[in-house]
Amino acid sequence: MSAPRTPSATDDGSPTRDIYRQFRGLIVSGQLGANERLPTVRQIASDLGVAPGTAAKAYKMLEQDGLVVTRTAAGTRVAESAARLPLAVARRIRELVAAAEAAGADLDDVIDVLRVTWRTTVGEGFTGSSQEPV
Amino acid sequence: MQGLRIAGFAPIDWVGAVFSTPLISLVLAMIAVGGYVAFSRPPRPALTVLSGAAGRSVNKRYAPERHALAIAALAVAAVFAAEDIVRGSGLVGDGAVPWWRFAIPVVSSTLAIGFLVVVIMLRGSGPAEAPVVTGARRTWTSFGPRVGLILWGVVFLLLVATTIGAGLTSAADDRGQYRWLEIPIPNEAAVDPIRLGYYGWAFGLPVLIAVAALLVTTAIALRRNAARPFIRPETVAAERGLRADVASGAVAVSTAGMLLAMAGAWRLIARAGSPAQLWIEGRNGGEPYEAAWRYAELATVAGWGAPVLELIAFGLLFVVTARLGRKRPSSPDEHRAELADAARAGR
Repeated sequence: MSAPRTPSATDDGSPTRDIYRQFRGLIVSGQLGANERLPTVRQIASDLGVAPGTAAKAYKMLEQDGLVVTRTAAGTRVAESAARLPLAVARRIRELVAAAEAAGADLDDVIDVLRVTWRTTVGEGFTGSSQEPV
Repeated sequence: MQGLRIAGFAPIDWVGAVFSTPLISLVLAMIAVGGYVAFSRPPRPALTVLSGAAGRSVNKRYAPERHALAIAALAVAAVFAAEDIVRGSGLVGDGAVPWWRFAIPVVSSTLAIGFLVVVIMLRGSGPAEAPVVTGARRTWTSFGPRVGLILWGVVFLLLVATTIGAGLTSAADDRGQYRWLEIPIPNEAAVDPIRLGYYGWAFGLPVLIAVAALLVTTAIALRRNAARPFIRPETVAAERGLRADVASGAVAVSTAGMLLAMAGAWRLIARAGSPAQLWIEGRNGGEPYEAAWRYAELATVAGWGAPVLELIAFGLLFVVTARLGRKRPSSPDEHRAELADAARAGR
């Protein structure tokens, strides 16, 4: 009897691969912060209309690539080495986006103000563009 | 100094008399919320408006639960008022202990939120039309109002503390029902203590059971609201706002139920705050025995706090009804018209 095969990241077209790709994108782009808990397998299965086993396989693939770490009772979390931003920053960015969206603020205005605020707060640590304060 | 007195009563006595029944708090809260809704600037409509099939899908999913919660919130206030009137009219037998008295608002809140859960499960939890992965883990607190949930927890702890504290200081009647407060007559061990109606275990235990059910039901409602799949990628932002509305409405109804129970308990406890007198014929030279409860000051504070709790509770229920009962814009044209109205009103 052969052991069950774990899908690899090169298997194309399967729902497992789709889920893997989407979470990889979220982690690599910094939308999920370091140590951020991923949704439960059940939530993913419900959101995407797939079997829980399919979502579990995708998580296994992410783990094999070092993008997430699974610990008993702690769930599946984004690996620190794979994340672009700490969890607190990623979370606040999401809150900022939600607040700006609710207020009808323009994306460019938000980015400009963030940049200026960063410059005045962090001072010489700023390495962004040389745009003047608004 | 005499101070300002009308018909022999000081202003503080008038305030006390006006708020002597919870129905006054209900009417005042209704007037306050009604006035606020009628005369305040209309809320700025949400900017995320969807057109076509996406808008129809979102409305179809969320309209029933918004309306259900609006009606349920109103029903909680109505049930409370009806029970108060029925009990006050003397339809409940003199000997009967109305053990349900303080549990009623909690039970009606539980049923209201249970109704919301059923509507969410039957009408608001269909599969996604186009699957969405947001990456965020959604739990029962994901859409809950942060401050609202903290206050919800504080009210829960206060109600449990009030119930346990009052239960421990209560005494049993001749049928073994803990519904009395016994105040011993100082220096008169041979004289029976003064017995006053009190928020003892006879009332408190049903409240504790009902509160446990309310807690579980609220948590289930928040979890069901958060965990269901989003309809489409383009509806996620709008759905987040709608789920936040439903979650804050559920937390408000739940908090209001507990506040009403606590206000009732505080009113009854407050009665023990005033000094009591006991006449025994042929004893003490015809003069009454006087005794005061050792927590009388605390009880007096509770008496003044009770109407405030009721005002907040009814206010929450009416705000939920006003907010969730109003129709949301179903098309971009309607939305543009609402924005124009809001801009005109804000001018």
